[in-house]
Amino acid sequence: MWESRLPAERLAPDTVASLERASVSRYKTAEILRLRSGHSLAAIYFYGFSAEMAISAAYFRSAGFNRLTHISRDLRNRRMAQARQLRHVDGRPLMNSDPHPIVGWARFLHWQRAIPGELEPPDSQRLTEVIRMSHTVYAYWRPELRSRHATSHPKRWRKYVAPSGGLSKINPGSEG
Amino acid sequence: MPVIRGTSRVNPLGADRRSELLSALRQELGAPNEGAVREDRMVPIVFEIPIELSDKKDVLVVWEAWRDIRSEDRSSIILEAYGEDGGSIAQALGVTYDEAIEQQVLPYAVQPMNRRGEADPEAVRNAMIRQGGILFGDKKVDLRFPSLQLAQDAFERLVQDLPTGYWSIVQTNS
Repeated sequence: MWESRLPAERLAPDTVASLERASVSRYKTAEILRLRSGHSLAAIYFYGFSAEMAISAAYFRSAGFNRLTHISRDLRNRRMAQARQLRHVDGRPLMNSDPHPIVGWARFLHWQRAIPGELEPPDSQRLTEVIRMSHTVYAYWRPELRSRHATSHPKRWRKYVAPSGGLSKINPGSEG
Repeated sequence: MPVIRGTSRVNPLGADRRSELLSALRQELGAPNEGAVREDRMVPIVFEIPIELSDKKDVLVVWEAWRDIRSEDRSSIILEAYGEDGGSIAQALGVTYDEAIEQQVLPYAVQPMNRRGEADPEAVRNAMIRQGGILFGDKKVDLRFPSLQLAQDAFERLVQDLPTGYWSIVQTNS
């Protein structure tokens, strides 16, 4: 039977498993690009997506989603709406309106992990570190840089690679 | 030097107000106003959205009464209103109509497509309200849903309810 839907519409919904696999895949692509002369900004592009997928997968895993539960765009939008309602201690929303709010996902992950009660110090430290690293990643991955075509010298963004790699391997905590 | 005092933008939710909201939401859950034509925006509209490949559901409550109430309090009231069934809720989210539009959590609109004279406008309006249409502006109704499946279900009910009506589902966040 002829399939009239667009290719993107025929894709299966996201799951924790697919987000984690995609995160690893984007990271490997970023590493290949980083080692090729003239492709450093393209590498940044992929590192950023790798980190974003890893953190959002960690959030959903922490929120009780099993590896194969469907994560539709509507469901993800509802989580983002809640993260934009919730306030950080400084009064700002946990998540801003950026379409790729990587820092917001990291804060939302921290909030989700803390819901049952006091976090164990190692978990709290690790999640605080995730938020810190997500700030570093976002500083390099912000839209103004993503859309540039110029080449960046690797030395100028060396600090970015370690956080991206760290975030692509994050685990939401002992229960995750 | 002048004294500049800031004021908190979030007011703590008093016990009386909390109890009032909980009672109103419980009443709606216990005896939904299905079939009734509400003319009051202060009635909560509750959406239960199943999560595929899971035994959980999301609950979204669109209600003007949430204005100025913290997100945590909204979720806690929804969970308490569900009582023992609260364990099956993956996310309890409360939003006002304006927040729902701004945050795109009701992206599927069911809209009437009648030409002049094909259906009584008042009957169309009432049919939309019966399906959970949200009142806004001067007697206008916006019938929106958080998932395509819920919109399609409402579409089917509208066709049954008002055979002379024509309806269309429009996705508004793409």
